[in-house]
Amino acid sequence: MSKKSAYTQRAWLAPAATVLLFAIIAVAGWLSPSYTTGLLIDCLIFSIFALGLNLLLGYTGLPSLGHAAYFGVGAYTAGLMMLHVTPSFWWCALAAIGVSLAFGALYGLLSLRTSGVFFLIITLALGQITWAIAFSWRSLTGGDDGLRGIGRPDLGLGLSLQSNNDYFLFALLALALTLFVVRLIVRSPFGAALRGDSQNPERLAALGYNVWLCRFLSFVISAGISGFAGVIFVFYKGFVSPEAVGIVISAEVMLMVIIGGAGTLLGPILGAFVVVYLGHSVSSHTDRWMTILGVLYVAVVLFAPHGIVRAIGNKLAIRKSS
Amino acid sequence: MSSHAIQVENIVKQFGGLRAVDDVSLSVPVGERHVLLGPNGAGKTTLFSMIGGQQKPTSGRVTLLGRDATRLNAHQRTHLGLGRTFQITSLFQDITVEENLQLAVMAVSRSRFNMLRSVESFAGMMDRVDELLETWRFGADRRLPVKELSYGDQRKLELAMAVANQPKILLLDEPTSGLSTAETASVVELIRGLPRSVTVLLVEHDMDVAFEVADRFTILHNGKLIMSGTESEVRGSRHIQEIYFGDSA
Amino acid sequence: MAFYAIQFLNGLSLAMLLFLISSGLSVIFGMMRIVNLAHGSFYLLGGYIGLTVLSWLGNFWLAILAAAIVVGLFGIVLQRTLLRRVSDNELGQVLMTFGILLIVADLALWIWGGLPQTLSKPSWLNGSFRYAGLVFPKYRVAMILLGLVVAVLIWLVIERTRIGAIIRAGVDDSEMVRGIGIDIRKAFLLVFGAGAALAGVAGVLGGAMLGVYPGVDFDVLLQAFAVVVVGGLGSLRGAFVGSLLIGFSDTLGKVWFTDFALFTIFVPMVIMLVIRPEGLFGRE
Repeated sequence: MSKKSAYTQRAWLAPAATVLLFAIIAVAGWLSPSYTTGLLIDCLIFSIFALGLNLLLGYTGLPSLGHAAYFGVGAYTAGLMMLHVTPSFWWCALAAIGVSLAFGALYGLLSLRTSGVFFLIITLALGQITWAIAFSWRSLTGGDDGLRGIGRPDLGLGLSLQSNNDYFLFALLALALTLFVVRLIVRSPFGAALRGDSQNPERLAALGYNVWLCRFLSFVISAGISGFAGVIFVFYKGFVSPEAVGIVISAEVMLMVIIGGAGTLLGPILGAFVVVYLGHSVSSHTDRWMTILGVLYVAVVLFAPHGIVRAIGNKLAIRKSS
Repeated sequence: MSSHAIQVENIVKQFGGLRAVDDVSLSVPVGERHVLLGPNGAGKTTLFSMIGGQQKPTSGRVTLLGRDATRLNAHQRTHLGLGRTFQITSLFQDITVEENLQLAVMAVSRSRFNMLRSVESFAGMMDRVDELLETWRFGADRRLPVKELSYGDQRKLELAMAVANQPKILLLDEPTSGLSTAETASVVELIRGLPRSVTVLLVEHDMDVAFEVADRFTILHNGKLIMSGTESEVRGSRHIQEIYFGDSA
Repeated sequence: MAFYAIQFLNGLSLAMLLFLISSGLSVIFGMMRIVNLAHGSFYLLGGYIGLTVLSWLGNFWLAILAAAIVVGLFGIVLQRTLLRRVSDNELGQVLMTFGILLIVADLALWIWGGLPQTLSKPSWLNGSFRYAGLVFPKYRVAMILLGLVVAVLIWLVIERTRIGAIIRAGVDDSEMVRGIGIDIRKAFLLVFGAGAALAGVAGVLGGAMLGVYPGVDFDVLLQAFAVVVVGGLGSLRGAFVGSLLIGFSDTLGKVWFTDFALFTIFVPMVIMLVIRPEGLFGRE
């Protein structure tokens, strides 16, 4: 049947392009000087983070302004595990994701009692509470100074993560894994329900979906992915401070999702690369990166509210139909 | 009591000082085609939404197929066997016709929370969607985003989604509003073609449609139930004539 | 005893300061449904402008006036050129106003530097009243009195004037007001400008009491949001009561839980959002 072949025709194009893209990045990162590789690692970490937020913001339509909470919690937990319990990556990551999921569940229960503007405010408040915990609980988190001296974890496969090049490939794999998982979710019945929720929750409920449960699950999974990003982050930097839990990070990752294109698979990755790269290059020329970042926020809202990926997609669609 | 599909007892909906629905009681036996009539603002849609679960009553009870449904959410009522359309077309505008129907079909399946397999891999459900597209003649438009469909086609899709899972109770809120004569005729034909195991409750403004389809009527006015009865009883009532054709609001 | 008298005074004066900041936010929020993360920026800007005018002209009143005018105009320009375009897009408002917050904060850092600064109080407000063995700083007493006066004035405007009636109607149902044909946009601009100006004045007044520093915009923003959430959107009474609650809870929190002070504003906020999102006196 022609319908089936149209599906299979399109179906391999995007994944193939993505694999190619990853291959290019891998080679570029491996061959680059250490500084650039480090920059790329930052991009990869925030790509994972943005993919996490995108599930809640882009696909389910719920804008969270406190997502750094899960990122930070993941980072702190992994750091504490490394410092006090075990250098094994797997145990640290498991614990960190677990704690992020727990925070996601708790905060999700609280936040989902509200909607719209109030949802935004409560996620902001909860993010700030988490920041306050990180800042005030000196004995656990090191307070303002944070956790320091966190070494590279042990993968247990005889592989070392010491050099930037090694860690870069590791981070790239982590992103690939995250992208794979998110793609599965998005193309699943659950993912379809999330999309429906962002467009017409009343109709979704009337059809028979438990809308609250869909949102809750989306919230929790999103928190878990953000926590995973925190793990990769803390093991790269070697330290974590309350800044990682702060509003600036929450807003930055939101910007990445929007710039790249909320509700698309590759958009958040593109957004992360753009914002991280811009930040690094602008900061090397001027002290006024914050001003430029602010202008970027305003500009995105005014000129590209649906993000770059959509804009390109629209152009392609227009060309195809004409 | 168990022969009633829908039972509404002393139901009230109060908004501040206003009683949108004032102590209404109604019983719809299984298989009946029942039409709610009344001028605008009579409380029909509010009553409807309390049966469908979109709103909770201030007081009173709603029983569906013998089960107390007063505290149940809309999605829970759907799993009891309820299907409904809305007065203002309510679809997923930014996705395709096909994707809308997929959601409808998946909604009552145990796999609706599955996160690991793609939608297309569920062959059984996809076949059902194909069937629906065929039956409702959406084949050519299956890949069209709903927002690009004509108004009449959107109403048709909404109806298709409501009956997709063979509900036992069908709630239709002004299903023919804004439709052409031909489209209205097909809706009427559809309703009449439904098996007698399905109970249908409609809100309708088009009196011709109402009389063609209904077994019994309930008339609401200012939130109160004025009368329930058959066509001849309604036609014969002077009170009703006054409400509709006399000093109607 | 003396200690608690001081804390009571501190809490009350902070509450009055918060009221100046949040009354505007509450009405703006309630009337236009705008989430303005840059509201704290008005405060910061006002404080710094006051600082500069004070250092040039040495007159506290002129500092207040300058802050009110400049920040008020800034607010009007902001609403007219940028915020109007995202009037029904919450996410857009958040991103846009956050961007403005960043821009103002960074430019202020560039112009005025990173050290915390305090505005000098007018000489007649230096020192304290002594009564019954208790010490009451004159400035804080004046702040309390001023806050009460402003509260009454705002109340009079909202309850007794035509523009106030429009504002009240707009908070209740802005679509209806538009439908009646009243030029709601002018009213919006005025309200936004007034709210900004008030926050700017608060920046000067607070700046003499607590100082201006990079980051004060965000601190103030969170406290103002806490007040509006707890007190209720669009309610002046709510802003007043909310300010009292948050003002005292913040002051006492800093005393009792020094390290965990931030919780005393956020926890009531979260509790309120979960139990009663419209706040104590909000509608809907």
